[in-house]
Amino acid sequence: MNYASFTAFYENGNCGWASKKVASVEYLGELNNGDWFKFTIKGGCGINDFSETIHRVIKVIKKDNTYFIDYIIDPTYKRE
Amino acid sequence: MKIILTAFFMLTIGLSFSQSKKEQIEYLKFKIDSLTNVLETERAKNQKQVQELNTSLNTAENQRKSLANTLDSSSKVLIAERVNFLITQKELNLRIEKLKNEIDSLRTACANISAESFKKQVLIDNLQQLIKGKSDSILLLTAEGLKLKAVKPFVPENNYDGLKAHFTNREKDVANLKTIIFGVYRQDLKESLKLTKRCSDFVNDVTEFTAGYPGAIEEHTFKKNGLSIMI
Repeated sequence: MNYASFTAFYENGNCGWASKKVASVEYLGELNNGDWFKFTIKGGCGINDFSETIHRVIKVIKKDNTYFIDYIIDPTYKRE
Repeated sequence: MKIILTAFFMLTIGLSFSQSKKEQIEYLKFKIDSLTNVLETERAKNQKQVQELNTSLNTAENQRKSLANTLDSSSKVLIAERVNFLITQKELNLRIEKLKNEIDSLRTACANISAESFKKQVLIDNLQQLIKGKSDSILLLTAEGLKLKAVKPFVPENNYDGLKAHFTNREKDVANLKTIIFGVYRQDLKESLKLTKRCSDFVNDVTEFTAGYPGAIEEHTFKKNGLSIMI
């Protein structure tokens, strides 16, 4: 069950980020049989460039004693 | 003279004596008449008494005959009743004997029933144990059912604003998971988060949509899944 790695969705689309890090992690609570986290990623196109900031909310589930990300959503997205 | 005096005297005495006798006779006649009257009266009285006694005797005889008849009838009735009693007694003895036999049969049946009852009681005890076990299972299943009922409905996950109101157990200790999330970009850590197939699929959709690859997900579907600004 090892699908794509976490690195597939960290960027913001303006370039391939050369630098990236998780700046903060906030636990939101339990829902739909998973644990939900909101975290902040900082990064940028250049080396040691952390000028860009994006936020992601993820749902983490545990299967066979291994943690998986089951869902990802942008908390700033407003549905049309 | 002496003789004459004596004869005179004797005559006088004789006359006196004759006079006295006459009176006595008269008196005796009178007495006889009185006695005759008394005798007649007594005779009539006695005759009347005899008649009365005869009447009483006849009445008594009639009564005796009547009583004899009554006695005879009563004797016949008594004999008949005695015969009936004997017959009844015989019948009752037969019935008593029959009832004794029935009682013996019932006692035997009762003993059999008691034995059967004991067996059934053992069976009931076993069944009760079984039922208790089943009841425990039912209670367990009921508790499980209640737990299942308590499971909250699935909340649509493609809308963050909608999700926020439903998070629970916010105080849970997730330090280990936080450490893993902090280290997702570190290649040196063995333990890292992977994606489920579901998540991997829509991350691929995002990537392909953003890159404009041929055959990428349609924009409408993409937005419907809440993925439009993932990248």
